[in-house]
Amino acid sequence: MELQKIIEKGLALGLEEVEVYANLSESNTLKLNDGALEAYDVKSLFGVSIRALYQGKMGYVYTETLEDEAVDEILQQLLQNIQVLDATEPEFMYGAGANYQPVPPLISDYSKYTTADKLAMLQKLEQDVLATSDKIKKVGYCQYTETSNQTEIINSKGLNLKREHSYISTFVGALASENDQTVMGYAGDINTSFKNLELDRLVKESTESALSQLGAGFVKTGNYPVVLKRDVATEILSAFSSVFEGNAALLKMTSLTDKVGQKVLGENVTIIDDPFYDDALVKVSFDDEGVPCQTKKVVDKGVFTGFMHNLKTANFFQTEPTGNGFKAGTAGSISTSATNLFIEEGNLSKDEILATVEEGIFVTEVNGLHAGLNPISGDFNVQASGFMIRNGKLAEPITLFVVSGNFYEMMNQVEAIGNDIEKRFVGVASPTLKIKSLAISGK
Amino acid sequence: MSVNHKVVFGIDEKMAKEILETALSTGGEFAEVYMENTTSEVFQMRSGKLSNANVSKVKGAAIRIIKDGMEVNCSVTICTPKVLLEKAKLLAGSFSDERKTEVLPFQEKKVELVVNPKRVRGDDASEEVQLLQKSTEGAFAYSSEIVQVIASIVKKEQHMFVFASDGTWQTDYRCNTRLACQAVASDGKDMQPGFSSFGRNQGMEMFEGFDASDFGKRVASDAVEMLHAEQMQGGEMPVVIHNGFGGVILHEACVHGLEATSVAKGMSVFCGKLGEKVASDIVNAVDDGTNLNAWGSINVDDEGTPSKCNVLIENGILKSYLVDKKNAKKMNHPITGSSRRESYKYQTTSRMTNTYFLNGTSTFEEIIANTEKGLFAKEMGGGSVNPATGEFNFAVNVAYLIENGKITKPVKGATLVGSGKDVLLRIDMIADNLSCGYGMCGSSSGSIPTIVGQPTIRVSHMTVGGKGGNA
Repeated sequence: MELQKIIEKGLALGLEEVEVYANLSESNTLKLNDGALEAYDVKSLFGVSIRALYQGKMGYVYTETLEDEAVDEILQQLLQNIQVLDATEPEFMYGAGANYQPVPPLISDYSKYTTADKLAMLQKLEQDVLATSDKIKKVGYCQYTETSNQTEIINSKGLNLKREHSYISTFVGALASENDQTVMGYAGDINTSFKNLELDRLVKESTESALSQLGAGFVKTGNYPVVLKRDVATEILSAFSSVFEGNAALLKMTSLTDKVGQKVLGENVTIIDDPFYDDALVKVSFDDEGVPCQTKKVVDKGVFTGFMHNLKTANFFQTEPTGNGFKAGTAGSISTSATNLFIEEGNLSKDEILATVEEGIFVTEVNGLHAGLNPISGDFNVQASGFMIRNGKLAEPITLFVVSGNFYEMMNQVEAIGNDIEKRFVGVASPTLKIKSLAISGK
Repeated sequence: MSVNHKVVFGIDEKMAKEILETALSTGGEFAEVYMENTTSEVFQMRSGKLSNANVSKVKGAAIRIIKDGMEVNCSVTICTPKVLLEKAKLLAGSFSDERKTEVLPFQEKKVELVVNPKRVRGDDASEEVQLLQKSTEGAFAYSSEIVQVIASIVKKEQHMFVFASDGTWQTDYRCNTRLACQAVASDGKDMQPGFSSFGRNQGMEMFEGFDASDFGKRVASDAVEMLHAEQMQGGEMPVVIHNGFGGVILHEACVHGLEATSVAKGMSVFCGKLGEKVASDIVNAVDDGTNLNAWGSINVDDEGTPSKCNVLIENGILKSYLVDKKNAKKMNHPITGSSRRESYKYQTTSRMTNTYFLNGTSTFEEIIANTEKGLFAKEMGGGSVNPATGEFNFAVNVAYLIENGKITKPVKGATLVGSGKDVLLRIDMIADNLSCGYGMCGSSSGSIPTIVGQPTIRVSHMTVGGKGGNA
């Protein structure tokens, strides 16, 4: 069925405005284990989210079946559900005619290569990881996925937009063991060019990470100066990014609601949301409501400049939408989310930052961020591993400790910012950060 | 309730046989088709107003072939018999052997129903809306410090059909319903959330006798209690983990490491430990998919195997892993009836159902009285584990200090970390008050409902994280 026909059917039913968001996602995954292909997985998934305005209220349904009868039934259900809803904030749909900044396409060349090419690549990757050291006993994960995604958004107000991208992700996990201790080191690459996959980097990063953790001991409980590896700083920023979103403000799930225009982080911290950022893998010109995306400093030298909004939250807070109306998955409702959110780089390398620490901790991995944080208060407590820093250099590895702090307090105590944001990052990025002091719980 | 596969999925035995024969034409040892037709509904109330009433319909199929330990899979939204035949042929193209396996005659197993929902929804939406309203009112009425309440009911109704070359021909009907409530307390300076949920494999009949107002009140009381709590001071200490959702420690610290996904690849700290001591002598643990209408129960798993009660640990000795069809052969281990997937979009694998420690002989009061100084973890939050290293973490949502054998002041921000192979050996007291919590477990085959449960237990020493007590 043509998507346009869904809109016609919806309008005929009495719905006032109708919008269709359709997604086709196709992927192929190859997983290698002990030199042989362990799994080959092909996916072809299609889904349509329909939302409609009726009496000032917005309802959502999702279906994977577009046969006439199924569409009629789900549209009926949509109308019924909207009638049950209470009127909350005013809702809107975006029309045609906006000016969109064009973005370079994200298109991979993987279809030019055969499955045999891809298998051979994985086999070499696995062998190279194993060849690094006798202590690398196994390659726990060695996998390749190629993904293509097509999204179409059309509505009864004339909006008609398409977005398409394809890319390759490669992931490797090296398992090292010695003296009854087992550790894992991971590395991943997201790329568009099959020939330019960064396999050497994957080998180096995964094996160095695993080998360096061997013999890890425990750290004494206390407060320490802490350097967060860029991946760790990125994960923490990502976990707290919702505090800058209009939807969190609407739900009263952020403490920043009455702090627009105030200094909330240290003045050396600037956080930018840039949908067109050169070093980001994905560039986007419109959000999932069809609103043009725009670059903005969310935090400018420590000052919170305003929430990232969709149409509804912008209207509620009496401001302009910022092109941040995104949904989590095709079936979800429109919420808010950053495009490419990152902490502006400083001018020191990671090693230069480590050199400033006499005794402290370099955190290289955190686990459990989904549970061990309170996005409202900003408190976090997460399992971590890393290294002691002594006299400006990395010393012995340490594991199974907890890093505790508060996001706002921490970002007011940033003593150094690295110049090392990851190239081709996806979604969120941070350079290396040095924090004056965080609570560490260990032995 | 049985599912009419011909009506729901348009597949008859002749067509099924043809698809499987095509899949096995190049030497595959096993071929299987899984189909589902699922409707999910979400009702969400924010500050007393119904803000969402969404419906999602998911329909699709997955077809897989296994040969020499390799699995090829295809997940498709469009799943007409013609498309399934095409995909069977495509997947068969991965191999180039002679046909080795014949499709056995289909036989539907008679299964004793352990999941038997009666009334999926109220006559209109008002029954659901009333439950949300009562939870919300209960939370707001508890304290003027409650500034936000978000209550939701999520339902998932699934018709599933699986047929395979080993003669499997099974349909199942599942219906999960879960009420959840989140309340935020604020004193104008700090903000603190509280959360709880109640879920069963049933329809609206599960709420008969359920006090939604009290449910909301308990969530609010946790949020307010923790708002005014001091920050936990980290260190190593005895930890008493309360019953109910406290069982997440068994789930994370141990049983993820017993899933064939990790064990078959040699990627678990529990590899090769069957028959060996992995826990202290007082520890007994099961994974039981047959508890009547329980949140994590299933009549049959997603490979069509009836669920059962699997004893995992008996008197401290490891008795069983959790194993699916593919890994049973590789591991030389019986199938445990617990292969699960969120949907056709994920490849099925060994997962948990209802997992819990069995009762011990101590009482809750004895455990507290016998602990001089430590942490009482009353309500656990979520956690995670790396099965290869056994290192785990989880958050404690509501906690108190134990001082001189008594529960004293509330503390917030405690996180527990440790290693799975150590923590089970350090359980030195188990109470007689087994109860359950309702979780959603995320792993390689997606997000599935699981019960975590236990009586109150004491771990002699663990690393507790927290930022309190520091200048």
